[in-house]
Amino acid sequence: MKSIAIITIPILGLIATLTIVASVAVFFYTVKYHLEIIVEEEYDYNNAQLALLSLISHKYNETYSMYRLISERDLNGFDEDMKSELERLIKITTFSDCVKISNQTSIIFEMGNCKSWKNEGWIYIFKPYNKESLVEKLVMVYEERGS
Amino acid sequence: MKKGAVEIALAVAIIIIAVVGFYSNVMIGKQITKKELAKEIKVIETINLMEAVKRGLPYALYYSFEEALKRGGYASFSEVQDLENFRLNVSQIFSEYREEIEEKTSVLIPFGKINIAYSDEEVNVSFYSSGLMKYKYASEELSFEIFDNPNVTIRVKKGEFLEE
Repeated sequence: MKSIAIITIPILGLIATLTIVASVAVFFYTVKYHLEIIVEEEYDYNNAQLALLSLISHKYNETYSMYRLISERDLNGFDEDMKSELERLIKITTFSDCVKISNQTSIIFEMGNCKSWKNEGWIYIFKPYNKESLVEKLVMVYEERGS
Repeated sequence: MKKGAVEIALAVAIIIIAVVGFYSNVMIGKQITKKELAKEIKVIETINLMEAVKRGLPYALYYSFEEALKRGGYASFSEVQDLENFRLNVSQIFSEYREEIEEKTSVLIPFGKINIAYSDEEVNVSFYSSGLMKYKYASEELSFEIFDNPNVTIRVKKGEFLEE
């Protein structure tokens, strides 16, 4: 009886230890799982916002900025030359062949045939003589090369 | 022999606890680092937001100038007789934009004064404020404020905005 207890006690002790350790591990994995979800949401940074900011900071020509070209497109038009210059600058700022710029209601510019829109960024610009609002939200989405 | 089994069991238990403790510590450390990066990203996004608003100020000021001419029934600035009244109109239109940008973006552009200086060739329109543009962010984990200078001057020649 005594010899059985001598063998059983360490086994029980080991089981108890493993149970405690496993419980702690499960607890931490659970915490990690939930933390990762939060972190993934917050950490989902990409270059789109900076690319958009960089884009509007460029000059279209000596007297006209890309900011103005985009914000006054409904007043002054948005011809093929403007679109091709926009395309050229977008390729420089995003390193992508597949980009879409839109406001909250319509697509302003689109190039390429994207499978997924991985990168997204937004800024607000001034939009003159716009009946609804003088402030327009620009959203850029693009697909990275090779993704 | 039986005593040896107990010692082995204890040793194994200690090793398991140590390994799990170390691994947990590493994982939690990584999460904290990522969390700090997430906070930095929020700050960067806000700086970009402020910068975009700031870049729009010259265009908004030019629009205010043009719109004041239009509402006053002037074909050009040379027709303006009451400069003070015109200046107030520019200020009012610019304020409408200020309020709208605050509503949409939470970027606060402070009150300021519109100044208009002119020569035969050119009109200079300025927005000057002693305060700063401000964006305030607050959440349970992070709070910060970002400031920037809102002052801006534009040059208008023959009705055209001369972009710098």
